Amino acid sequence: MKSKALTNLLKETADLYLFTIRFFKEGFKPRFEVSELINQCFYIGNKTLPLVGITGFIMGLVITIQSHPSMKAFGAESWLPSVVSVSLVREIVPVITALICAGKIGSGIGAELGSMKVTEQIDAMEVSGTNPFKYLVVTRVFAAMLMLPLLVILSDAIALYGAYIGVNMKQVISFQLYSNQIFSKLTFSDVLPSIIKSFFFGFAIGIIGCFKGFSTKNGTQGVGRAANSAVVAATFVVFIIDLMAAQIADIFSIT
Amino acid sequence: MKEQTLNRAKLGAFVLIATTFLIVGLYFIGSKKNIFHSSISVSANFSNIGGLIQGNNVRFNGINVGVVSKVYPIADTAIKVEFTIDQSSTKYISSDATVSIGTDGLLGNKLVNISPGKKKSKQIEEGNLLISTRPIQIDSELRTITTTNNNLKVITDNLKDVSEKLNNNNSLWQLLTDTRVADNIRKAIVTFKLTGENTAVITGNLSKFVTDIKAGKGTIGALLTDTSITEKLSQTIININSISDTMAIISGDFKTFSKKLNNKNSTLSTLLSDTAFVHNLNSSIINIKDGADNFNKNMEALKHSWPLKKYFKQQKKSKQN
Repeated sequence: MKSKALTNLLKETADLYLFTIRFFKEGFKPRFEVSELINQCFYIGNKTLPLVGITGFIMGLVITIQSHPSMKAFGAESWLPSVVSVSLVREIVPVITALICAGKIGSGIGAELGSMKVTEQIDAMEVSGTNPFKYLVVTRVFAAMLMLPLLVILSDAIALYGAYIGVNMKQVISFQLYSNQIFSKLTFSDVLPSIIKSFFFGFAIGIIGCFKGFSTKNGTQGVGRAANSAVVAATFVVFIIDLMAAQIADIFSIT
Repeated sequence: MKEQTLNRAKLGAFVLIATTFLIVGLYFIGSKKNIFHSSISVSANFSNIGGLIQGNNVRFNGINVGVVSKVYPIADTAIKVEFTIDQSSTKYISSDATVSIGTDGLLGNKLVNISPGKKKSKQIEEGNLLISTRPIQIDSELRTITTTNNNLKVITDNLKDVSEKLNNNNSLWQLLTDTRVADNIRKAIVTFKLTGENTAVITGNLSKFVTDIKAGKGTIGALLTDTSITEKLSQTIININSISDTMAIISGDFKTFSKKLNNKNSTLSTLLSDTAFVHNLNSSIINIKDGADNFNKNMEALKHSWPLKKYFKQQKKSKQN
């Protein structure tokens, strides 16, 4: 039983690897489904923004409120904006955004493609002369890759505004001083790695969602399972990528 | 189709806003690090930079003017620190400005402080090597503070001793608390005051005295102010004058007399200048002297002569008694 589960895991990993290779093969070959890509971008970007924005705002506010007592204990209240901004921009906002997207986009893609698979729409598409991989997978993965960094940037902005409100709950600080403090503390090596990292988050979420959807079996029951396993796998991979990003940044001394 | 266009527009807005945020954010971060300003690069050598790293701020009189761009050793006791200075700030920094390494707050980041040089010196230029001063090492400062504290302890101990002695030493304390001393001093002051008053009275009297003298009261006043005395005095002077006139006449006579004396033909002159006469006079005097000697001898002989001998003996005896 154990060996079967392990075999299944290894098989799935191999399938995912092959699926990824196929993505790169198909993805950079014309013709490009630009219209569908823009559609997917709209659904992934615009439709996720409210959720991501609210989450980011709450995270900024909460992190500030939580950090305040310990900063006060060190007599470093004035450092609160810089400390909070660095932790938000470097780690919290990218990871939280990626997790939200893994939940919303990953499950959405998995369920959508899974149901298309079980209702044989994908086969029908192939028959009608459209490349389903190009039309369904490549567009979604690219859309996720392009939208995730933009979502992270907007979420950063909203979270930093939330942090500003959080700081002002305990002390009075002008927005000018606040922005001065955060921008003098932040560096390119804080912002750029987090944005580069979110490309990979988007890629992972998109490719896992598509893979799970494409490999759905066992009818409608399998659709739910596909959606579920897409979220779980994507969440897990997001953390793996985050760990790798931190390691790589450390190796190149981008700290 | 219409909905699709709207969706695309929304997506465009989304992408645009997010990109704008990214660009603005990166610009602000870069501007804080002086990346987008034109700047010059200068350097300074230090023996110890105390943890200064690339990217630390450079301050001129407390204003951020640049960042540290490179830190590397050039000898076993020298570290070269290269840093940028914002072009707009260079006109205020002279080439003899001094550079030191400081800390932002007590525990903050390290930074490079530029202190202004002399005003007349040349403006700072690309590639200048600035003079560095030794950075403040907190541990060495703490050592100094420890020494100061030890000294303070000794001083306060001594002060404690002094105050204890002051409390215990009765004579000193008595001196400070003795009311008699104060009384004496007070009396002395009163006496002194009286003396002063007396002096004032004396001065008043003196001035009255002087006034009286001026007014001719009293003997001195009379003496000084009596006009009759003055008249008498002038009379006396007139008399003196007439005496001197008489004296002049007498001296005139004396002059005539001496002229006559000088005249060789006059009797007196002849008498004085005739050598034969002088010779005769000399021999006469010698004769007289001889005569007197002889007379002395005769008298001595007479002493020893019988009738007078007794008389001289008696006289001698009475002289001895």
